[in-house]
Amino acid sequence: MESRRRPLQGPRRGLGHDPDYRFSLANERTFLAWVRTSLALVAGGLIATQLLPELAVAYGREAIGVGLVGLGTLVAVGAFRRWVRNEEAMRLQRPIPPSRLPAVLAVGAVAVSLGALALLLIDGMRG
Amino acid sequence: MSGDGDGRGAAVDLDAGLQRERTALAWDRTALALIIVGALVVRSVGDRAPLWQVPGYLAVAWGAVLLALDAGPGRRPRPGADPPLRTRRVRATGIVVVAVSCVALVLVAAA
Repeated sequence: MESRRRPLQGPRRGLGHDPDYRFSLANERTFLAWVRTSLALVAGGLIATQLLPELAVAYGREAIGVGLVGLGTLVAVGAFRRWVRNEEAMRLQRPIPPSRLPAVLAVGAVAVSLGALALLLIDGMRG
Repeated sequence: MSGDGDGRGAAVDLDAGLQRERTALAWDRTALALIIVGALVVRSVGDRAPLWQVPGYLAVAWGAVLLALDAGPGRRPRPGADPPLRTRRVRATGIVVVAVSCVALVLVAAA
């Protein structure tokens, strides 16, 4: 039985065989793409909190900021874990395991967007 | 892309898909994003709590290190070379990004 992995634990040493370098590099580029997505979300949350005007709903813009940055944090953690799992799968010549990260990002982005839309509509009606 | 087929069994280092170059560019883009977001975090923290600026400065510094690591063709990673170093670079990047995200989360929640 596989022991529980620590959050930032890298691929297990000496596991399997060195994969084709092209696949390793592709995995690395995928990780970096997720990292940039995470950073964009974090930046968006910070900017929303600082540049949006006060909304009619109390702590409305903070909620948008928290949603975006929280999603960015989830993506950052998930990105590393995905990179490790993919590296290990390639070393063991197993299929790349499925990832929930795209679903998490999609659901989170929709939730934040709908929340922001609702806040703006309420702000418009009260304003 | 380089080739070295001298016919005496020397390793042929062909990268027809320009994988290493694309990976290096991906690191460069990530480094720039780290620098920008790190600066944004530092600016957002302001004078409120100087210690909270540390992850932001760390992101800026790590972004600069990543750019320096990829500077010059001699520093491009060889095919499959140094997996532990690559792992450390990926892990360090992950740690920095998570640290910056956590600070940003506190900032927006406490705003």
